[in-house]
Amino acid sequence: MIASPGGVAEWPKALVLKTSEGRPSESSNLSPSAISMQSSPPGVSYDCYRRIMMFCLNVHGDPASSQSVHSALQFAKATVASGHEIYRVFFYHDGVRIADCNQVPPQDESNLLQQWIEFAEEHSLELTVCIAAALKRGVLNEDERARYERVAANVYPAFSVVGLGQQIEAAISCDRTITFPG
Amino acid sequence: MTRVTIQLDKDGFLVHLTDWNEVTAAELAAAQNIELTEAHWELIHLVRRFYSQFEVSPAMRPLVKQVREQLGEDKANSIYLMQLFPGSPAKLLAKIAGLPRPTNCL
Amino acid sequence: MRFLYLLRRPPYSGSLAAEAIDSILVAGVFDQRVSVLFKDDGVLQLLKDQQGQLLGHRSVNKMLAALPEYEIEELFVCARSLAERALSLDQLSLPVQVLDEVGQQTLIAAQNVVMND
Repeated sequence: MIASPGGVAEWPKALVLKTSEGRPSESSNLSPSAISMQSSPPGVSYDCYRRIMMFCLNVHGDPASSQSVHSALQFAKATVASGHEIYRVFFYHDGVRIADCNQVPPQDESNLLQQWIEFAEEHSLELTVCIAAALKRGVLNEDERARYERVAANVYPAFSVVGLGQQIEAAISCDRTITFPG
Repeated sequence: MTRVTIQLDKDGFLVHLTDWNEVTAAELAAAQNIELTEAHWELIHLVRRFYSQFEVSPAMRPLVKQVREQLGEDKANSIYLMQLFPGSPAKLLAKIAGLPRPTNCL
Repeated sequence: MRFLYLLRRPPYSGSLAAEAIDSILVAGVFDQRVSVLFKDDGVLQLLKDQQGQLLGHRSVNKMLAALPEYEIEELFVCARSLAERALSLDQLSLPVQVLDEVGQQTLIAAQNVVMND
């Protein structure tokens, strides 16, 4: 699925690859100079082809005290809007707190959890939280609640609680791994 | 002999790592239907040394590497380890040796 | 695949550093070619003689010492970050290769995946 020139208006910014392979390999690495953020007016065609890329996102910051979870959501929306795909979103460190269904944001602030859930549902995104980081921060699904005999489970069902291996597996499987630090 | 109650989580890992001693280890092993032999003990002590040195419970690969270096090539394979600690040797060894769960085994 | 972990956090800012190392070790288990670049306050993770238990944490230098056990032996440190903190290599607990900015660019450009902490 290669973008037609007519589609450019909907794709204001896209990573344009100038190598023949999408994924950098040991021998032909994608150097920073081979990537350019290009913004072309409608009707102007690219001098190189475009391909759909698979992204995975690592989200590390606390939803309430950092911009990380919000930035990641904006990036995810832009990624999908640009015709690319998101393989998995992995919440790590304080980022796991986004999965806590007990959050009550004030009415005049955006409901990040709600926005992630809606966006994930719309695009069938896999939302995952790291189990080790989540346990430490009191973010427990029913299995973990029972295992550690705690009072209440609080992971919103749209999130799966997974091991760190899922973070690495996603990075291996994707064209791009993007991290949103805290 | 005094009776002591050791707190375990639902998976049988120690809640308090300081509760570990060789008697505890034998009990933890018995709960997994393992009777500890010399071959088991040398591995238990090996992973405990690993943890005290690195503060990380070893995953399978570094475990095999340490076994190779300390106990010899003939024991440095997963078949040998699985005979002694069936299923997931790194996880089971951590449990019986009184270490935290290996991170990727959570 | 070539994985680079770019560690910029101090060793005892909560458990951020320890969690990042957990991720590195898992990448090692996945049989990837993993290297680590310590930069900014991340260079402090390498200091000798840490006593993490006094701060309620695992000792980060001890965890880092496990890297070779996971076949992770390519460790790099930012020259400028060391200089800014007046640190010399003999204060660090592991053998590392010092890189200037150009060296770091080359290193990063050679990766398939760069993981931040």
